[in-house]
Amino acid sequence: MMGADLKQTLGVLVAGGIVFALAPSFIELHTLTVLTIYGLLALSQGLIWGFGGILCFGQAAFFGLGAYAYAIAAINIGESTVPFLLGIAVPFLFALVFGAMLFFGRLSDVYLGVITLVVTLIFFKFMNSTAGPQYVIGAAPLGGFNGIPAFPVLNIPGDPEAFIGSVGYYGICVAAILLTYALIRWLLASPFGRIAVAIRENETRAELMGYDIRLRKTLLFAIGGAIAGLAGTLFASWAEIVTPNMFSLTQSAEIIIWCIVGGRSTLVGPIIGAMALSYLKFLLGQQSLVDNMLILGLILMLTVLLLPRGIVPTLAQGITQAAARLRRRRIGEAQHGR
Amino acid sequence: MADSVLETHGLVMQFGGVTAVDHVDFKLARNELRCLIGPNGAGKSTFFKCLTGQLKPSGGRVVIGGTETTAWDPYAIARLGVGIKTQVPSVMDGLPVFENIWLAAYRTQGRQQARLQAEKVIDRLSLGAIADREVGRLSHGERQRVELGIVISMEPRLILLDEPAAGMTGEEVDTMAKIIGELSADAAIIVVEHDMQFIRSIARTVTVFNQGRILMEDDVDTVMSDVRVRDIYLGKKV
Repeated sequence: MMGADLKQTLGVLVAGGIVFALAPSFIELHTLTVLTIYGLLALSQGLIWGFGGILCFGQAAFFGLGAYAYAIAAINIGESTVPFLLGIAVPFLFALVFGAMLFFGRLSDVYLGVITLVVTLIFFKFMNSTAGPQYVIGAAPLGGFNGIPAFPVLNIPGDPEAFIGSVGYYGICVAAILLTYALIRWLLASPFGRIAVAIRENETRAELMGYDIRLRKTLLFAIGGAIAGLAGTLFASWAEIVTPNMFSLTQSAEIIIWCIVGGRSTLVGPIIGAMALSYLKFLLGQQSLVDNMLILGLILMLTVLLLPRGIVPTLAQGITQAAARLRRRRIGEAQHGR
Repeated sequence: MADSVLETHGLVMQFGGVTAVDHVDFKLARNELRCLIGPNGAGKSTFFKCLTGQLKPSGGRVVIGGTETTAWDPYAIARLGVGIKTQVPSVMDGLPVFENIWLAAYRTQGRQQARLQAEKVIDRLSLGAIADREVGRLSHGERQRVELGIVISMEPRLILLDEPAAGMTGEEVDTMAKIIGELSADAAIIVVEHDMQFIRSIARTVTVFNQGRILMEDDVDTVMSDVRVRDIYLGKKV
């Protein structure tokens, strides 16, 4: 069982590596980098929703928090290593405390969705209203609606002057998403991950087995927060500006749509959903004939109606079935020939 | 105190104006096998839920193995060695049979032993042929057995079985009775059942619930020949 799992993970990593290596020939590098970052963000949602059964409407909160933490720390510190780590640690800790309140309070799924969304919007409102000069953390003004521009972007660790070029930065983002994918697969194969899936399947039974589901859901939620924070940190260095829009309703909703369209029962599904839909949005943004949100809404509706499990699980099933049919036919032919 | 596995003192569970469990004093000795009968709505399943912590009692005390567990969380009570098979099988439908049982075994046995334990239990309940199947696709009787497997692999010292023979074929019922008999060598067991044949085949002492209270508690034959019991419960069936 473990062997097959490992083989599949390595297969996805190799295939992913090849796709990411070839992709710059087809898509402009700057765009491709942000698509990769969105893939990472979707991966965080895919983990906690698809495998932990936690439907968080506020994954954007951790994304934005990671970006702001990085930007603020980078202005104050300069060298990017500590800000980079803070960009992961701050959303992780926030998700840990926030998750503990949600899960130890035993909120039901609907309230969890509402509260996570509201918290994201509180961040959105708050960050929008920090334009005044009194809103400063160290040397970094929060900037309100305009956000924080002009902070030091990611540099080679230890050398603040050695900024990373666009090819190098794309490489970092690809490494981040592949490494995160591998770590999540490892986590899901470990007892912690197997129990997390058990909790998704049947909370009552998991608890009657003696597992403290509140603690386990909190931890998984915090891990998801850390990954979203990493995506936010990478986004900050890509955009070279962080704005309150990272906390917006659109951003929150898009992450969920990526997972639904791509297929949330897999890890690859959300990544593909995020990258494909974001690229489509980018292409649609270059024309003015139809509103791109209209098209994205249509895609979401069609997916939910026609492919309720999402694109990747449906494709995977189709391929497995086709392979089985082919094998049967071959056996049939062989017998016929004899 | 030391030789009782479970005691309740004046246990009360109210839902608004309805008292589902009404001042129940119950005592179960070590390795005792007890049957719980009573008409629908008598409070048997609610009583179980109070014992496992799924419901927080409105009043009274629950003592398990000398530890007061009133209003504890279910996971903490489970860790004292309490396993329950619920009325509607509570299993992980999307996971294979093996994974269901492994998850239960892992909590008590640790990583080294869990696999062996799960295999042992699957063997014991003859689930080998369906070990890789998804539980959601199995028949009701098979799901009942999977849930029993989950309970057994935890090696609990107090086992609560809510209608373990429901929806099973005659052969499966006999196997279930045999397994319960074997289990009672190492654990105290309470069985809620409606099947009188089944109760006769396993029980010594029977407790009768009616309207949230204990109506009587005696050996099988005395209970079955009691007029009140016939009136409230058996009269409708026999």
